[in-house]
Amino acid sequence: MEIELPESLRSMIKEKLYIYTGGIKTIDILSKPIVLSIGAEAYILKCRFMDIESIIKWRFPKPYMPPELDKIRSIRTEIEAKIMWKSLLMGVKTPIPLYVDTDDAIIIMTYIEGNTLRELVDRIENEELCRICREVGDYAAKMHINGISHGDLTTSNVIIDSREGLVHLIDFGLASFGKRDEDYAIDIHIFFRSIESAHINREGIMKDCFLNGYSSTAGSEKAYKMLKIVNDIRKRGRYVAERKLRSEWRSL
Amino acid sequence: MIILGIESTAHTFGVGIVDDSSEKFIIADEREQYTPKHGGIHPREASRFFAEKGPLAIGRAIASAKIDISSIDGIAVALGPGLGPCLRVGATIARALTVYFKKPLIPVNHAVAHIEIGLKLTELTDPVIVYLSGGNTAIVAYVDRKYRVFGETLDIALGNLLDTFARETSLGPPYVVNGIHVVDRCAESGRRIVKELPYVVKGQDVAFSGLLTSALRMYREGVDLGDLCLTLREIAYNSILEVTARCLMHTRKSEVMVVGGVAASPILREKLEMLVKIYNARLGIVPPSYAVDNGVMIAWTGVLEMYSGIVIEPEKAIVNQRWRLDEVDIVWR
Repeated sequence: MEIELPESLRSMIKEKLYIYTGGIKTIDILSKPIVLSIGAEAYILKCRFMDIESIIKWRFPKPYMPPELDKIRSIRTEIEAKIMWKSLLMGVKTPIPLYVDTDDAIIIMTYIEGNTLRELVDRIENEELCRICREVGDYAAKMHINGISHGDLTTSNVIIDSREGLVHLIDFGLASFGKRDEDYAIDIHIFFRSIESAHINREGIMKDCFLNGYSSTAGSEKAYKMLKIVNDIRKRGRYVAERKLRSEWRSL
Repeated sequence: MIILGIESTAHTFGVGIVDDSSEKFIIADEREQYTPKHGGIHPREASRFFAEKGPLAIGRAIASAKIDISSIDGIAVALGPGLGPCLRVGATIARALTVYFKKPLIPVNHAVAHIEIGLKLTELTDPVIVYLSGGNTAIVAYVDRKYRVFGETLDIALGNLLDTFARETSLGPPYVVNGIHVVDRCAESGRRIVKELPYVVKGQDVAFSGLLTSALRMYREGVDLGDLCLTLREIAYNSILEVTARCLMHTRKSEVMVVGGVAASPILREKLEMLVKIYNARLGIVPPSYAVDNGVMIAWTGVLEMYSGIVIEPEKAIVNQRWRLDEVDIVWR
């Protein structure tokens, strides 16, 4: 896939870094950008940035959006970078942002070599699956205690690095700062729904271990409160029979 | 196979007759639309209107198809989701006809019918379905024997948002004039995007009630109506585009189909065309006359179900106002 990169990235490709340590070491600032995928709002490219294996996330301009509304790209980029930093500080493993350009909506971050949880679910034993989901639960709780919600906590956004098996969260594109329990509960709701839609045969263990990790960090009282809100959220969808107590259909 | 379908979930009483062996395919299509004098649909008033006009529409359908009722192979009816009193009129008529003429009765989910007629008319095979109407806003995709909801509105539907805004600002009813929604029309005079209105996308879901409340508050505070229409429209459409893109990437499908009453919007169509270009996907838009509620879609889904042997005993054919799209097993695919 060929795409037209923004000027800021194109000019970076031409530049070099010279390091004087006895001799002169020359490093490309940015080299070999290759498009990995196109997401709902951004291109994801792999590259070498200052000689580090990196990912470029570029929220490209949307031709169907009026420019004033498309500014949401800059806002989201800024929030995403801030949240990644804050998460790293509180012990949640995420890629490390190396370069942030809010005008062009670009974040360059470290690349994590590994597989997503979504890919791994069908290949790993219960014990390992439980460890990963527990860790995700612990991460979610840590973020929630610190006033952050991830916003898109699906099994595709959990990466287990292939070297040490460490669990990382990625894609903070919909993450937000906020003190509302509702936003935190939506993280849990989305994680559960991604399990139900793609890994229904391992639903029990994944949910239990997630909740286990969540309660051990946030406390069982908070976890219980969250689950109650999750149930409320589910009933908000269209035409949910449970919401109406005396449904003729249910009595059949 | 010839199936007669009855639709009466909301404001349209529709009777369609489909003959899948005929070149014409749709051999009858009769509709009676209830238009409230003011405000939204009043379920009781709509159902009275249906009870009055429904039998006439059925008579007209059979006459225009130039067939005898004995040559019909089955009667399909939309049992939900929708407004209870309205659904009951269609269901009662369908049950009476099946018992009297000794025909099989086929239960049809209204939302599934929207999708099936869309697939038939757009000739797409496996699209991401953007289902937008007065009562529904959902991003749906076929996975593993069901039309699964990937994202939906957590509160009010897109059509509901546009209609309510139009009503509260005296732009409507009628809400759609010459195929264009009054909010789209009013947006043409908008010059700037109002920054303070909220853009809410939560993962794969959207929410519009906050947008509606804020827009109405600003309208009362004297913010220019054209600007508000433009911003409301842009935020609402673009949030749907965003979740559509997310579903496309998630399911890795390469087609997008728009169904439901709001599918007719030319503005939305234009935006979706730009979107599918980025993702190298194909766009199919259900023709407006079949994107809105109609009896033909019920009849066609009836044909598909009949081939798979899905029929229901009349005494068990009870309407279900909350029959979710993803509860239906799609055995005919």
